[in-house]
Amino acid sequence: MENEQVTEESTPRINGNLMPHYITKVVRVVGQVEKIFNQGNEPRYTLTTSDGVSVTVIQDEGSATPQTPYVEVVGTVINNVTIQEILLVDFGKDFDMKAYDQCVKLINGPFQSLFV
Amino acid sequence: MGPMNPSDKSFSSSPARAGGAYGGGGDGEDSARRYGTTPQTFVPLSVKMVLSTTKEYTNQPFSIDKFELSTVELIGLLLETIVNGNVIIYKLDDGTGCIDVRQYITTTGEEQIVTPINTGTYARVVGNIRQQGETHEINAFQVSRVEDFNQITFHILLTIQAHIQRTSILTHTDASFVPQSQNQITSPSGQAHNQQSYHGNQQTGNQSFAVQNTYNTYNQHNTSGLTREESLQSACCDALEHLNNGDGSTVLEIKTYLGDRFSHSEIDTKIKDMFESGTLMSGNTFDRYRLP
Repeated sequence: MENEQVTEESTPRINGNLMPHYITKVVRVVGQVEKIFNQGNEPRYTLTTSDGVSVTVIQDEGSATPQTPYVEVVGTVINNVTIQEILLVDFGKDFDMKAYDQCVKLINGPFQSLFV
Repeated sequence: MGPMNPSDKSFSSSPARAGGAYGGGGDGEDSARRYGTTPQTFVPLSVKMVLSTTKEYTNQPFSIDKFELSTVELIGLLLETIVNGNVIIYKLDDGTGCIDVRQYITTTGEEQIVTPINTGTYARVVGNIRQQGETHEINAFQVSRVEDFNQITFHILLTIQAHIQRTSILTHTDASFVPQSQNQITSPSGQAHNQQSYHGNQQTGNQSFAVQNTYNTYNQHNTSGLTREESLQSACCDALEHLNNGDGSTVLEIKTYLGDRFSHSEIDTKIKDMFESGTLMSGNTFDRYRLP
């Protein structure tokens, strides 16, 4: 079950630059949807993460596509710039990416002990 | 799983926050005494922090950073919603961990006041921490849908700021230290912005000064307010930023920059931990590290 994958362990909030350190791990990434497309039978979309990195998100066949410009993806990091989606949460059309990225840096920096 | 854009408007936005994140809030009192003995009334936390709270005796309240807790606030994604009689049990995940939230359904006559929130929705939870066997859970007074997702950012900032203030108070023995009210974040222009207005969705996009405020608080108490572990990590980040030469820096270079504040082995261990957790990247050679 999808939710069980999420609850097995914590799912750190990261940005695009931190992805190389979380390969095979389940993470949370917030980004702005740039393009929705299909490759074979796999629906995909590209995101620009809070720190400006372009990331491809692979969905399962039949998954619903993002409905708003900003989304949060909970998924497994496949490689430096690819995530396999587990959960998708629409974050609306007014989301402050700059502030969120500062938060991600605090969470993964000096205040890691509170969140990670 | 598909997208989860909340559309059910049956839940009102957040109610007025009684008191500050730190109860009382009257400036000029003996803050050390006040904070040391009075349970805080409204504390923003992460799930990880809730799970780390402890209590010395069964009948005592939970505490964190040596401060007693009363009401806590969490924001996270609801992974599960179960209605069992007059109780709704949510599984809340904020990325730092997962916790059960229990909310009792109340009714007035025929009308049900509390309605379950769908799985896959971000929710704001206000309640008490309860011990359930070996684990913790939240006994919620209120569970409301997050309509503005900037609240997630804001909650994280408040959680950090509250932690800084708690740990700062612990190291300030003189009563002159009075922390800033948790309910007010001041913009660079000096204009006070009430947290309630944010939760009322009237402050979207004005978080840059909230971030700055948290950084300022962090910098202000950098040497005295943080735990040694946090100070060490912060110092390492500062050193790497200052020494930035593109190739990365060695532990020895960081140690030289930091002087006698921390030992070589402390720095070495911390840098390796930070590297393994992804906070740092490798430099040009295996013994060099740099910030992402």
